[in-house]
Amino acid sequence: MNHDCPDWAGRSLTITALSAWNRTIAEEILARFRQYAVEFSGSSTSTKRLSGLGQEARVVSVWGPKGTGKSSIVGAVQECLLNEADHPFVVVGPIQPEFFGPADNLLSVVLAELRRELIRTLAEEESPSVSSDEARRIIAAIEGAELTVAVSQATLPLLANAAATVDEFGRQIQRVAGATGGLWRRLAEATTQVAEAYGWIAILVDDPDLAPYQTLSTFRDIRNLATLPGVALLVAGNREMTRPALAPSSDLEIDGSGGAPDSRRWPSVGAELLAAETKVFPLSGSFSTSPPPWEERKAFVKLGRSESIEELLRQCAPYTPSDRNLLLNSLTAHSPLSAGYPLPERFRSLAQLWDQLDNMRQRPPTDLATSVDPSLTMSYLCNALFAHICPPRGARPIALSWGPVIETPSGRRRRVSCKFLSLNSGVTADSGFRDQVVLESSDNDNAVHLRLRSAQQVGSACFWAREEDFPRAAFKSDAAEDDMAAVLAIQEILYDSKLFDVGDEEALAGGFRPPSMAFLQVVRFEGQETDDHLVTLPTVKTWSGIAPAAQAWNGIVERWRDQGLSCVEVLALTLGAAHALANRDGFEAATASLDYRGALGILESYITTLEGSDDQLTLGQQELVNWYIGSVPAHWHSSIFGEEDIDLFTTNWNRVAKNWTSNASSSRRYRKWTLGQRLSSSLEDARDAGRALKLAWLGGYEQVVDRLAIKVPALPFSRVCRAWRDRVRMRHLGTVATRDAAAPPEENTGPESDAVPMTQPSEGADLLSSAPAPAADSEEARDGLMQAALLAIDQWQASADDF
Amino acid sequence: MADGRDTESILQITPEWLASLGYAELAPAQSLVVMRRAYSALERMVGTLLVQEIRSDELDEFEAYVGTSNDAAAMEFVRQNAPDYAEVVRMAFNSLEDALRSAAQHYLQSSSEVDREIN
Repeated sequence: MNHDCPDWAGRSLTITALSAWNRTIAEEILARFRQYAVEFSGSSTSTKRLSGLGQEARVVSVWGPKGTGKSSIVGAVQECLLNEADHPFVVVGPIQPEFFGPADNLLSVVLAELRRELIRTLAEEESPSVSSDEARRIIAAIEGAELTVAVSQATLPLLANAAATVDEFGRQIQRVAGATGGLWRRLAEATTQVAEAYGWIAILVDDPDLAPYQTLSTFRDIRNLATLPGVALLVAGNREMTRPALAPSSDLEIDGSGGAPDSRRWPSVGAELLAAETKVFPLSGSFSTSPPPWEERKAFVKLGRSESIEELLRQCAPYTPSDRNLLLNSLTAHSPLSAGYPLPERFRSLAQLWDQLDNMRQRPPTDLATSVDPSLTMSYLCNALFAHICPPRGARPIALSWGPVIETPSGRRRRVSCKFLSLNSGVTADSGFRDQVVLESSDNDNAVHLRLRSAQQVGSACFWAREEDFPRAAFKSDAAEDDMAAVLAIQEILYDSKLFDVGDEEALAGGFRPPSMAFLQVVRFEGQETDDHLVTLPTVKTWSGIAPAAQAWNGIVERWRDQGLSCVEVLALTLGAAHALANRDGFEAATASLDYRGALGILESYITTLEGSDDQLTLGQQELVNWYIGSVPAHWHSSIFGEEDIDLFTTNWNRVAKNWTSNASSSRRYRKWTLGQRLSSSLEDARDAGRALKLAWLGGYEQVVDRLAIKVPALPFSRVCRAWRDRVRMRHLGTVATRDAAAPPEENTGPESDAVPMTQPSEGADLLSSAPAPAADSEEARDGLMQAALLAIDQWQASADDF
Repeated sequence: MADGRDTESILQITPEWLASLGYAELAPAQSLVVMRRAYSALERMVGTLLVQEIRSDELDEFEAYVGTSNDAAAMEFVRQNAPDYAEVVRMAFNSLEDALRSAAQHYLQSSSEVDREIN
């Protein structure tokens, strides 16, 4: 059905301004009101006046948490009712009991509003449908009812003290009806006259549960008003807030007493409470709102306006540098891998953000380098985003402090201090793709199990994961994905807008870190297991960088599995991906070059270009430089590259990196997960000979450590170097001798890389995806048999000392 | 081979060999994974055993051959300094076979017991 409203105040308003689900609700509510009006107009006057307290309340209710669009529904319904042609309505409200004072009550406010509305109609109508005498009689009837209500006010608190439920109140008020001078008879007569003369009375009440002094009396008035002839109510509220007020307990809120609800009984819902609730809010007219999905958030249009948030963001492009629309990227980046998005899911927050963007686009900055306005306006936007992050969560920015505009080497910037820390002690802002199944089976395990899967396998399950260094107890399990997305979006806006002087990058949240991106769970050099941080991508610290980084990573994994790439080829792909992502270009793993030297050369040229640029680096570019300096040297292990290659790589590194290590953070080479830090921390544990032997593979970095002047503990490193050299010679000897006596397996029966053999069952299964698909149980048995063989080989190898 | 031994004396790591040890059920790609791992482990084991027979300064000479990709000289070095290398390889190969065979039997036995318990 089409409920578009006709032109109103010069604008064409339609109910389509609501989200899809809420629009459906609004249309249904309109249909109910029309039905009421039709039934009323078809009944006799005597029948109309037979309404009483025993009749089912005509209350249509909309329920939902705050910000889910309840008020927008009420507003949309109001506009359509005001413009209803076939069945005119007298619309009262929306009334907001939230703003009532101690002496206010819903009944008095409704009558006063109704009288004012009729007087206004009487004054404005050029050809009145009701004679002036008739109108005055109706208004006088309402005034009489108002007077009666005022007289009865002294009695109502007494009644309320005696009756905590509507049901009980109804019985008691019958006893005092005579004393209140025929209150409900007068009301019934008045509303009947109004409905017959002007149209059905629609009373709109928003958030009655937030009435600070008289929640229960408000519900009672709703119930009683809704049984009057010619009257129907639309009420929007939060059911969880409503129930405590209706609960049959003397220690709950009573008119004027201001008592606090007893939270110990929530959310238990007894039969008596349900009965009271359904008496005020009949189930047949009860609807529930739903938070908007991602696409609806982007398409959000403020009621009565026409542009979506996405369109406003597009129009705010002048606030962002160069040819990129930073705001659009950082706030609307859509990841099919994730359930978290920067735009808030509450309609009220969306409306406020809409206002902020609308204000921003009205004043596009003309000169970003010298104008103060852009940073001020952008500060407001960040505050608006910041405000909708709801504590307590796993992580959120604790503080955004806006400082003065200062002169910096990059021009005038507004100083800002932002501490992206956790509300919960010990929890940092980190993220990654978690395998839900693995997590569910490891409740008692403090380690975070991150296992990268393809987009199809992951589905929509992207979660924010806690830092693995911290205990599970410190992690709030219901942390909202949206919060982290907003944190990263604010972070991105602050940095990449080039309007702010943010300070030390270390104060910022982590984003993706190498462990969450490490898919080669076990990397072996010469048969020795290493750590799994050899193959990495730069840390992703921006929201709009997460999806492309994850997709690039998945692409590398898929190609590696499909084509059985060598370790060097995988590393070449990571170089290409890192370059593309920092430059915000798309990365196609399936067609990217596998030439390591070529990819490294391109990356180094790009970093050299960045160094010579006058522009401030984006956050992504900073992370690329950090990664190149700190982590790429981990590729240059002597079992992967020859001496000449490593000599070339380290020479170039010294040329490219020297301009960055001096004027930037000194931690670039020793940040967590960089080669320098990892070598140092590993060697600290390698003081005894046995441990040094186990970590012998670290000795394969001897040439890199020497050429890059990486600081490592000298004695332990000399031990692992010696052990590594012995191991390499031993291996060479074994290779030569074995080759002469035993034939190696043929190469043409399937993909596998010696450099990175698979040992995890599930990964092994993925690797072997090219094999004919056996039945499920058979496949499981084969996997088990293969694992048994691999384990036996490992154990046999470890028993070398027994010979 | 360099010394003219016939191919029958060469140890073969093939799918048939793996099947004879109890791994006939493996898919071809799975067999390849196991065979490669087995061959790699065999190399390392042989190196571990042979290095005990050779002095450190002699190994320096061997490394020089390997570093210059002089395969023939490297092989000749092994023949001269570890004349029993073929026997060492065979011994290690047999030991590896035993380990794999035992693992397959143990796995199949465990699987059968589980099946019986389920049924």
